[in-house]
Amino acid sequence: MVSEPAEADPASRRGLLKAAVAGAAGGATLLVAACGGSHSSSSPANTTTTSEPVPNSLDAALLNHLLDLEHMGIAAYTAGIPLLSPAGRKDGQLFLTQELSHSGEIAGLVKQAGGKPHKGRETYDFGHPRTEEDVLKLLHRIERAQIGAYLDAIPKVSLGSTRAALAAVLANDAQHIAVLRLSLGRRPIPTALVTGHE
Amino acid sequence: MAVAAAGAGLWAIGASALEAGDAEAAAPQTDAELIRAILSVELLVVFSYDQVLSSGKLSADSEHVIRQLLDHEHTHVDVLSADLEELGQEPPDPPASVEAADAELSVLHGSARLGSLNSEEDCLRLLEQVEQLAQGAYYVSMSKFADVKLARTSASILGSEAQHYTALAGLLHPGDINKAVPGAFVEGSA
Repeated sequence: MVSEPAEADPASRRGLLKAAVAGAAGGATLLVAACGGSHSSSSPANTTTTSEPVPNSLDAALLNHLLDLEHMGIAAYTAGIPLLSPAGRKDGQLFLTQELSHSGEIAGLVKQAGGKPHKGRETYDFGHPRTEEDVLKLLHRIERAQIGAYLDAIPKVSLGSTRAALAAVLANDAQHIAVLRLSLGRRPIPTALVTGHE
Repeated sequence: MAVAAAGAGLWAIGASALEAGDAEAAAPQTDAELIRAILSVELLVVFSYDQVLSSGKLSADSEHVIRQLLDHEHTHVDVLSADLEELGQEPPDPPASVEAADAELSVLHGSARLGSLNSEEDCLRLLEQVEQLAQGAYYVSMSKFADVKLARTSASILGSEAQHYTALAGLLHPGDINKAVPGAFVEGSA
């Protein structure tokens, strides 16, 4: 049985960043305030945003799609870990823990956007993986789908702080996929840009 | 506060103003200034990889990996330079010397120094650190871009830098997955 973690702690580092960015008049202002100085009230063209937009229902839908993929990843790791070698199991347990953290974070962002976080499905059709290689390929497919979905969502969400939070998760998934690729005997880091296609 | 301090150092590097106190004046106002600041960090990363490769301290296996990662870093520089050119600005200069690079590392709160690479472990630890600095530069910038396409590109490169960290930690700590993938959220340390 895999239990989901508590949702994003607003006192977490990411929570603090979100609060700081949401409360600041803009990126530059955030930095100036951080340095202990006063900030300019001017707003020249081509500046970073001068007021943070509010999250909306589109954000909640986008984030819930990401949450659906996180739930799928959690289910796949949970089901697949017993079929892995001892070393693979150690990797899988760590990645499962991290996926659980991701789901908690994304659920918190869904709530912040005014939505209701989706729950995981009772069952997923992962086919019939029987070998370690089958499981690694399944996990690779799911991590790849997650990375692609995060990259798709990042330019669409309203809040800059949400974009940062999604990028932090994406980068961890990029580490997962590198390790999975190595376990599959593939080049672990085949490209200079993570796209979700590799 | 950690994020705030990170930004201050990053912007100081971006402005080539190597006093942390100048960071306020150097705080970026535009996407071009953000890209320029990140590019300065990427050029420091490339300089660091070049120094490590020329140190003679790496095993053949490690050198093979480091060369691949350096190729990626060159691509990052090319991508960012093109973005900066589209925004009408020239790329910044790379560090002019080991001393200049070490001064930039100091501003970015890095403890490793290119001037004291005495072993493969020193080299790999330094590269781990500069990769974390690069991660921090991208992470801190993610929330500030006006052009969300730039945020997407930055996320893509942040993922790459995270993978580099995993590869370097794998060389330093073979078989230790907790060192290779240490946290669920990659935010760097710039």
